[in-house]
Amino acid sequence: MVTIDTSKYFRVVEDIGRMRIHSSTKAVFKALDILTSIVLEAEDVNTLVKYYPNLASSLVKSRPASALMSNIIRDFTLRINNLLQKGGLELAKDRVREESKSLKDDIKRRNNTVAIIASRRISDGSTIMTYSYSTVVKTAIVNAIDEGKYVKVYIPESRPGSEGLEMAEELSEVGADVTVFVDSATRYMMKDVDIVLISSEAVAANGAVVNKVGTSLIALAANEARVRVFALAQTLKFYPGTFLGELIELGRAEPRSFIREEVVEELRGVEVYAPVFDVTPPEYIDAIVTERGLVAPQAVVFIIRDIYGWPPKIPSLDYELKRMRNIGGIA
Amino acid sequence: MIPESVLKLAEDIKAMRIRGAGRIARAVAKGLAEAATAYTGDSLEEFNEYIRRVAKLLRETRPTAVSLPNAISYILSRYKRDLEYIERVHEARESIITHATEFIKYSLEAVKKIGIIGSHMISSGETILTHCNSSTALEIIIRAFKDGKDIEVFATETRPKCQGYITAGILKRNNVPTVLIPDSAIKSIMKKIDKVIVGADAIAANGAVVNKVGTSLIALAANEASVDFIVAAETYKFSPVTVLGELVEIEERDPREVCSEKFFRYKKIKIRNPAFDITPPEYIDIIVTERGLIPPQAAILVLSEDYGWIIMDRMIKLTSALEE
Repeated sequence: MVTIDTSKYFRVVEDIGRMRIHSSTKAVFKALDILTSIVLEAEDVNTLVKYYPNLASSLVKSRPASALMSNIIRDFTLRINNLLQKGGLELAKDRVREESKSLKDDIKRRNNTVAIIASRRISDGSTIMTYSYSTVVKTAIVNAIDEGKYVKVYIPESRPGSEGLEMAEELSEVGADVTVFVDSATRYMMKDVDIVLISSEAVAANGAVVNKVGTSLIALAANEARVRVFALAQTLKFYPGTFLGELIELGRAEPRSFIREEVVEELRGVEVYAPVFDVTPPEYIDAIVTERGLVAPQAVVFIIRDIYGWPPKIPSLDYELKRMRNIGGIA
Repeated sequence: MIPESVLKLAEDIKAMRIRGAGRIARAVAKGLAEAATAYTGDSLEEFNEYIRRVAKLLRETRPTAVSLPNAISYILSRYKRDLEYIERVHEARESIITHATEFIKYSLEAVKKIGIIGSHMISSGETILTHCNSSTALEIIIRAFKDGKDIEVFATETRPKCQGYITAGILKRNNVPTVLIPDSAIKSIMKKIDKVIVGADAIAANGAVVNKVGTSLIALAANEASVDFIVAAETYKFSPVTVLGELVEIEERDPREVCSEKFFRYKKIKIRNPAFDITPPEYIDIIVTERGLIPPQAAILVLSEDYGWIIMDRMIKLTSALEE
């Protein structure tokens, strides 16, 4: 058996886990690239089976709240398994790029549809508030601008991580008038806002939306000011595994990711708590924009029933990985 | 004509070498007393004109700082009341000095008293959230801890200037278990919190509290989670300027506090940096003052005790304006 140096792949896994790659779409694309490379590098099925399952589960664990990540990696693994069974590693190598591309294209297509539907909610001259960095929200705003609408975008810096600043740069480059402020000023700024667009890491079965920490505060402030909140989420982000309501496991950020270096020493002994995600309850969300159209958060269960049946049969990654090991002869 | 020492003091406030609501207020009182002491003329009318100029100078050092005019009003409103009986300059000078000294002494004692009164509201085992760096709020928290209450404190980072680091440092030196959180995590951690305690820069007549930006967002999240929201404030922070409900103008500070130089290259990016926000009275459970605990709705009573005549004066003016 030939060994593969996977350290460079695990570095990317770490980048995803530490939110250095914050957009969940981008993170999933990276994950697909890694798994594709492993398939291409493996010289025999045994080598593949030695490395693939470990990397696949590490990727899913790196973004525990990302429904898109677990859905796509499971689906990709299923496709690779089918290829292995049909034509062995040779066929898998032959087709792996295509499979990866078709999954990416599918994600992009759904995101674009979501963005088109969302952009219809943006009226000319309106002020949009968004939060953190999101590919699909960006596309929705770009669509609105391309349609000739004048839009102003308000973005809190989105600490820790300050992904809002990156979003601000990119939106200003496509012609939006952007205003940046600290997260604390959200309520102060809300009075000028017409519509809030947020992205999502996952949508739970009760319609609650998991997203970058701080999103729930924005939604709360919008609710108080009677500003409509739309969450943009293609249905691959719908999470059938969360019938426990809001008990999706949420990761924590590193203390050093937000405390300034020069005070780390001075504040030794002070604990730091920095969750990465929070949960916005369904009552603060007016609608979820999916590629199938607008959905009330209370209607998310219908879509989940459509996709996964009722009670939902959740296909598991572990099952697919076991299948792969069986194919490799390691039960 | 204005003495050198007062000009220097004004300069120190302007350059933020003197900062913090309480410290600014006491510095202004000191300035008025020094100006009164240095006055040598013997016309009462000219003295009043001179004091008005000193007050204007001090008030304009930081036009939007809210504690500053309150300290001036505290002294001058009492002085105006005395004026009914004052005939000579030396009596006028005496009056200003007395009220200024009284203000400084009272302001220092008030923080201590608030600490004692407020600490009774905290029970052992509670988790407290505070925002920014308020010496009055910290007085309550540290007092409760020193009284043997087993408490834990969550301190927000408080962007952009990160005064939360100062708060965390002070709490750490006092051995109070402390957790630092980013401002965006407020709603996530609210279910762990028993009481929110914050300071105030000013309190309007309707009980609305002007404080560091983000305070109103915390109050909203606390309200949603049914967590007690407590404001610690000396009564001189109650602002007579707002008796008719005038909104306090919010100071927008240098955008460079928010993000690095490179963002200023973008023509289409604007950076806003409001220093304060206004928390509506319905989100505030209680205000701890040196005179005791008051509901925000009673702010108008505190004001009428201290500035009764001003309030009447304004009401009359408003009424006659409406009649015209």
